[in-house]
Amino acid sequence: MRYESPGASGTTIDYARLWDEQHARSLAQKEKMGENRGRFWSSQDVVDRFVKNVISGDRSRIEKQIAGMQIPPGSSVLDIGAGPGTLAVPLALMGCRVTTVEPSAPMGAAMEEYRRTVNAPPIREIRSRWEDVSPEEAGVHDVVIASRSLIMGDIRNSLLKMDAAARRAVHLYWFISSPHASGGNAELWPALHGEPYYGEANADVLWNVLCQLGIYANVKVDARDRVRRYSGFDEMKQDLYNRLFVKEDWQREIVDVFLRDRAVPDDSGYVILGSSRTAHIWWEKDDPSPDQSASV
Amino acid sequence: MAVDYIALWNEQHEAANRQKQIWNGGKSFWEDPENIRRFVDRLMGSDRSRIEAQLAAMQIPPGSTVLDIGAGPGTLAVPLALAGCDVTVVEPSAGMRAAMKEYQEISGAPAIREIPSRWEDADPAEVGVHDVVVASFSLALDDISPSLEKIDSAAKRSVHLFWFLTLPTWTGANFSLWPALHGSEFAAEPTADLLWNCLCQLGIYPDVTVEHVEKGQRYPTEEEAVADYCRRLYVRNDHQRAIVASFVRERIVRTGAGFGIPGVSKTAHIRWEKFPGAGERSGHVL
Repeated sequence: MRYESPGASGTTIDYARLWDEQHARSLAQKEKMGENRGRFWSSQDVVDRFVKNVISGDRSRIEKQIAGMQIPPGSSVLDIGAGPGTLAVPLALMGCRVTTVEPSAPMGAAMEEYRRTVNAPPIREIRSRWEDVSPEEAGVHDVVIASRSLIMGDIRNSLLKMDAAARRAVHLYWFISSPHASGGNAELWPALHGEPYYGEANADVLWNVLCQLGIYANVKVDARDRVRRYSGFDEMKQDLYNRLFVKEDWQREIVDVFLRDRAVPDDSGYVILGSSRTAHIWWEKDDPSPDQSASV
Repeated sequence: MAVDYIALWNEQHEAANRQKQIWNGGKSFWEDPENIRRFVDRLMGSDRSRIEAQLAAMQIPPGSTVLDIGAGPGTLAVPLALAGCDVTVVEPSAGMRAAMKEYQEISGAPAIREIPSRWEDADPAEVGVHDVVVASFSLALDDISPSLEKIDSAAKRSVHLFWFLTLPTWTGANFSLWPALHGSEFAAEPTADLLWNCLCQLGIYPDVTVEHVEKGQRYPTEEEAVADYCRRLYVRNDHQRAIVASFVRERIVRTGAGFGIPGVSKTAHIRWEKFPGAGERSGHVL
């Protein structure tokens, strides 16, 4: 069986199916615990913590991310899963015309507040999951971004829709060694819930899906030695209880023991140590730069 | 993760290898002096922009020690030595090493240390450790897991691998014609996507830069193009020659510099940096 890409290895692995199956398994596990359709991302606590991280957190990482995309001012940008405007607001400030796709209303409200605070130009908002956005509604933009927001099913069509919505380039950011692996989930889930943790597929699968679709993307891997940061120990505990669906005291005890071992104070709060890698996966449309024809 | 990319690579490479050996009479392609001469002529006569782009992309500081695995006729090794690097090559073919020696002398480059061996057989103690390890279009390696681990351990600062991400244009003829010529499917070497997967499986998460290759091989005449395709396709009789000739004549176009079959392919520059204490890489975790 061969896929769209005529030249690739011709291995019989259907990476898109692999992604979709892993996503479905991960989703089913969270739904069993009571999470449904984005409740986590719509909870005010989670949004507040996100906003705090965006405004007072490590700006250098966001600046580095934006610099890495080399988006010229004046570009139109579609930001899929924009959250509280982490990238969308700085991009609007830089003079880009930004449209966001974000299903969570509290995230949208947080972005609006962030935007007003820093006096950025208006941002067009599509309040929806990417899977549900029609191509007409999405429109066509110079650049399409999806930063750590690829918790999506039907990955084949989700990615093709992104490619179709981009005139110049697409930038994806996704975990290549899942933070869940060292951030607690994989280690604690079996003890808390009596089964293995099912995370989303990693960026390596994502890159292979793209090859399967005939999209040959560049990859830049960013390695970090910490997983998440918090302004206080209690906040950190609450976030882990929430992420891990902890309800009982004996479960809280397991999480607390883990945190005493793995969380360390830094200058303005706590970080959970562990290795975390993010892949920046990007491609340009139609190889527009004429000088590339020079390479044989 | 259930997929064993390393096993997939080994399987596909072994199939390609078996097929090549049958048609080469058990000898390596690079043992035939004719093949080497053509390769070197092409290197000398070709447009240098691709080699220059490769050298620029690696950003190797002058004075670095460089190990070039499968260096061929010194395509990168000689310019690197000229740029002030201390170069060691691993190259099994005596003909290639002789060609490199000649290239090095003509260009006035400093001496290059030679290890006359396949990478798989090279002794790590003899290889030593170098600032930078390069393997450019030389990744048809057996038993890929130890071969890649040996590459990683030979590098102090960084590793640069170049390999086909989609198969080069000329292999289109192999896929189309092999069944008619030889009665079986063409077995291609595994491509760079699988190589990258193997590296991830080993706990190395490298960067990838995709390069577009828009020009196929150039030939001064149509006849030479047909002859080259016949060689690559192991044509032995007139019936086979007629099949190949009609394939080539249907596709070949005249370009500024001669004749060529147009086509687009992609290559990948796969690279990673070594960090102090990076030795405790764990395997793929999910």
